Amino acid sequence: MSSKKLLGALIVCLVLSNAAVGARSPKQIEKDIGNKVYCMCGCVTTLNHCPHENCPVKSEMHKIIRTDLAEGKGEPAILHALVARYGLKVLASPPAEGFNLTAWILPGAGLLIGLFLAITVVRRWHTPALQGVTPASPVDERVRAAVEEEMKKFGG
Amino acid sequence: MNQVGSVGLIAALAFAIYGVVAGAVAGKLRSPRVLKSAQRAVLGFFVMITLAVFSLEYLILTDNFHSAYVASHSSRALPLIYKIPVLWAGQEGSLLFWTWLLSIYAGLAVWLNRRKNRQLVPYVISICMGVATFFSLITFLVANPFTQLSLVSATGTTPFTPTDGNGLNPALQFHSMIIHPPMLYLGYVGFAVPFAFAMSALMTRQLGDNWIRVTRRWTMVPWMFLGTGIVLGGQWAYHVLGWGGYWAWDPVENASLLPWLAGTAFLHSVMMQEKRGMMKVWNMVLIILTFFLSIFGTFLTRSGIISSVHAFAKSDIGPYFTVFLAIIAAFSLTVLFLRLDFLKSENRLDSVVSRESGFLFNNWVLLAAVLAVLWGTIFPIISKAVENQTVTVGPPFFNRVMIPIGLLLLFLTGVGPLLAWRKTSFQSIKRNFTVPLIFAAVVGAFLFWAGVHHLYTWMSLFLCTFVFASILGEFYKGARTRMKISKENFFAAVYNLTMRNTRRYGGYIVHLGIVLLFVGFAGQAFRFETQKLMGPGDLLQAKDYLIRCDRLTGGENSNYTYEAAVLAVTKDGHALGEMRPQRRLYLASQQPLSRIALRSTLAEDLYVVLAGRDPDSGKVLIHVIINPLVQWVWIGGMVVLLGTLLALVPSRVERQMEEIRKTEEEAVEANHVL
Amino acid sequence: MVLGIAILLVIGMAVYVATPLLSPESPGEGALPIDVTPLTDLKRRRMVVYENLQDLEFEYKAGKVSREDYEALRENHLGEAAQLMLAAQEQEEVTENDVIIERQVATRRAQRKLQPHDSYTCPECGFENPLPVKFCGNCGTKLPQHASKK
Repeated sequence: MSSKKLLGALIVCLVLSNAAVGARSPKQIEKDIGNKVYCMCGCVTTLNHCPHENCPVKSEMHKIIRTDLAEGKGEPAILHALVARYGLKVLASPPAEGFNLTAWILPGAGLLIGLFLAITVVRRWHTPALQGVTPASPVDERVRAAVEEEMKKFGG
Repeated sequence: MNQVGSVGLIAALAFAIYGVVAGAVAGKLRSPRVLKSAQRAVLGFFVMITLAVFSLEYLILTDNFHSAYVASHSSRALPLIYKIPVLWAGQEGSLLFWTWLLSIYAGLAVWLNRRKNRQLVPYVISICMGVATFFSLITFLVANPFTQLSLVSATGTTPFTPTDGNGLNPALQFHSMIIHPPMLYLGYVGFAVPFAFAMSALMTRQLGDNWIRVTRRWTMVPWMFLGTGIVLGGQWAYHVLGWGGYWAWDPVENASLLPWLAGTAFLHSVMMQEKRGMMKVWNMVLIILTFFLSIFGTFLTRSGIISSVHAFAKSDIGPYFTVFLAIIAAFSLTVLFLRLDFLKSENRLDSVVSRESGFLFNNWVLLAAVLAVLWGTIFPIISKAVENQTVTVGPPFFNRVMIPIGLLLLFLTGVGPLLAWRKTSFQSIKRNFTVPLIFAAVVGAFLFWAGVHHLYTWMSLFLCTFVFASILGEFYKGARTRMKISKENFFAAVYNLTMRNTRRYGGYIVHLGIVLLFVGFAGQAFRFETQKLMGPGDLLQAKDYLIRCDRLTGGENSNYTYEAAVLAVTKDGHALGEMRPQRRLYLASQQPLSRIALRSTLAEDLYVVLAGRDPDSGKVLIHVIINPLVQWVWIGGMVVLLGTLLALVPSRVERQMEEIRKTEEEAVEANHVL
Repeated sequence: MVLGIAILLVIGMAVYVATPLLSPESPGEGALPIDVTPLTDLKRRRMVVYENLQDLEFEYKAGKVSREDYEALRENHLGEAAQLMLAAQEQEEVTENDVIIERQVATRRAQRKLQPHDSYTCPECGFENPLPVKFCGNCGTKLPQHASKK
C-alpha cells in the first residue's frame, strides 16, 4: 500500500526537520525562541506576535532572552530559564516528557490506530468472489431485457 | 423596546417547547393536523425571535444606552456600518443571533419539505425545536441581552442611562468582521438540520438513501458557510492583528475547524452510501460528530474555559452547555444503537484498489486530523485536571502534527478521483497516474533546482502540482469524450460535462481550491521580516524593496485619533507608490490598534506595520514583512466557495431522479385517496 | 404602544398555531403519507445502478477504465439491476394483493355504514353480529333482510 510508504517518508521528514537546525546568529535564536514561547501578558499569542505596543511583559521577556544570549547561553538553557521564571505555560507547546508526552503521542497513535482500523475494514469487507465477470446470480433473460429497456429510458 | 425583546424571547421559548412536543406527537400519531400545528409553531418561533432581534438592533441603532448590552458594546461615535454587527459582538447578542439563524434554518427546512418527506419532517421539527429550546433558554436565563442598567442605592434601584457606551472593540471595526461572524454562525447552526434529518430517519426507520440525499445539501450549505467564515476570519487576522499571519491555531480557530473537518469527512463518505449503499452506520456517526463538534465549538468560544484571543467575557453558561452536549451524545448514540439492525451494508468491497477504499482512507486522515486538533485544543484542560499544571498548546505543536496530516490529505485528494469505483486494475492505474506524476516530477525537479529545499514545502508544492494535473486531466478527458460522442466544441463539452454531474465537477473545483490553499500555505516558508526605527528621510531595505519614510502625519475623527507614516516604496528601482501604515487610538475604548498598509501581488504581499513610536527620538518603528503567495489562500478559499455553489446546482441526473420520485409520490397519494 | 402590538402578535401567532388542532380531521386526509415505500426504494436503487453504469460507460470511453474492468463491472451492474427488478416485481405482487384486500375491507365498511346498526341484532338471541350476514353467527336464526340492497 502506497500510504504505508508515505508514512515511512513522513517519519523520515520529522526526523530531518529536527536535525535541520544548524548554526544560527543570536538574533535568529531570539526570533526562534520568540516563536516557541508565549507572551505572558495575557494576549494568548507567541512572544513574536504579541499585538500590544509597549507591552511590559514582552519587553521583560525579551530582556531575559537577550541577557542570557549575551552570557553565551544556548536555546535550551534560555527556554529553561524562562520556564523557571514563568512556569511551564510559557512554552508554546508542551515539553515531550512526563504526562505531557501524551499530547504528542496521541495524534500519532490515533493516526496509526485509524490506519489499522481502515485496513481491517478493507480486509473484512473485501470479498474477492464478487470480482468475477459473472453477475451476482444467473438472471432470467426477460428480466435482463426489461433492465436494458429501462436503462435506455433512463439515459435518454 | 427592552420589554418587546423580552416578550419575543419568552414567546419564542414557548413556541419552541410546543414545537418539540407537537413534532413528536405528529410523528408518533402520523397526524396531518398536529403536523400542521407543529409547522406553524416553527413559524411562530421564527417570528418571535425575529421580533427580539429587531428590538435589540433598534436599541443599538438608536443609541439606547439604558440597555446594558448596548452600553457595553456600542458608542455614539461608532459609524453606522459597525453598529449593525454590534448585534453579535457580545455574548448575549451573539447567542440571540445564533438562535435567530437556527429559526431561519428550521423554517426553511420545514418550508422546503412541505410536500415531501412527510414522515421525517415531524421529528425534524421536534429536534430542531429541541436545539432551539436550549438556545432560547440560555439566552433568556443566563445571557439575556435585554437587561437594563440601574443604580442600587439606599433608597432603592433607579434606572440609569450612561451618556455614552464603551464602544465596540476596535479590532472588530473592520469590514470583513461584518460578515465573518454571520458566516461562521451560519455554518455552526446549519449542521443542526442534517443532524435532525439523520435522527428522524433513525426514529422512523426510513433508512434507505432518501435521508442521505436530503441531508447532503443541508450539510453542504453550512459546510460552505463555515469554510467561508474560516477564510474570512483568517483575512481579518491578517489585516488587523498586525503580525502578518492568518492562522495561529487559536482554540477558537480550532473550534471552527473541527466541525468543518468532520463535515468534510461526511460529505465524502455520503457518496459511498448513495452509490453503493455502504457505510450507513459510519455516516450516522459522522453527522452526529459534526453536529456535536459544532455545538462543542460554540461552547469553547463562549464558556471561557480555554484562553483565547477571541475570548468572550467569561460567563457561567459552561455547565448548561456541558449538560446539553451530554444530552446530544446520549440521545443520538442511543437512537443509533437501537437501529443498528436497519443499517446493514448493501454491498461489499469488490477490490482493495478502488474509489471505495480511497474514501475510506480519506475518512481516516480527516478523522485523524479532527482527533489531533481536538486533542491539542483541550489538552490544557486535561493537563490541568490530571497534573494540575497549566500548559500551552500553540502553533509549534499544531504545525508539527498537522502538516504531515495535511500533506497526506493532499496526496489522497490527488489519488482518490483517479481510482474507479469498485475495482481498478493495474492497467487503469497506469493509464491515469502516468501523466500527472510525470508533470509533478518535472515541476518538482524544477522547484528543487530553483532552490526549494525545505522538505515540507517541496512536498506540498509537488503534491499540489500532482493534484492540479490530475484534476485538469479529469476535465480534459471528460471533455474530449463528449466532443467525440456528441460533436460539441471544447467549451460546450466542458460546460455540459460539468452541468451533467455538478457534484463531481463542482467537487473537483473544490479540490482545486484546496490545492491553491496549500500553495498559499507553502509560501509561508519563504516569509521575510525586518524592522527599523524610521523618521523622515530614513531608508529601509527589505529584500528587493527599498522603503523611504517621507513624513509622519496624524489626525483625528470622532471615533479615533491616529498617527501615520507616509512611505515611498520602490522595487528594483521602479516606484511602486505610497504606503501609509496607521496606528489608531480608539476614543471610546481607549484601545490602540495598528492599521497595516498592504501591497499585494499574486507573487507576494508587502506588509507594513507601524508598530509604535520611540518616545526619545520621535521616530516610528516600521515592521516590514514580505509574505509570498498569501493571495493564493484567499483565492483558494474563493474557489472552494464557487466549487461548492456549483455542486449545489441540481445536475441533470439528479433532476431525473427527482422526476421519478415525484411520479412515485403522486402514485402513492392516489393510492391513498383510493 | 409597541409592547401592546407585540403582545397582540404573540396572541395572534398562538391562535394561528392552535387552529389546526381545533379543526376536525377532514375526511379526505388520513394519516401522513409514507415517504418511501419498499417499492420506490427498490426502484430508486435501480436508478442508482443505472447512474453508476452510465458513469462507468463514460469513464471507459474517456479511457480511464481498462477494457477488462469495464466489461466485468458492466456485467455485474446489470446483474445487480436485474435482481433489484425481480425483487420489485415480487414486491409489486404483494402490494397489489394488499390493495385488493384493502379495497374489500373498504367496501364492507361502506356497506356496514349504510345499514342501521341494530339490523344485525338477532331477534331470537339478541347477539349483535359484527358484519352484514344472513344468519345469526350465534344461534343460526335467519335474520330479516331490509334496506340493505338500496
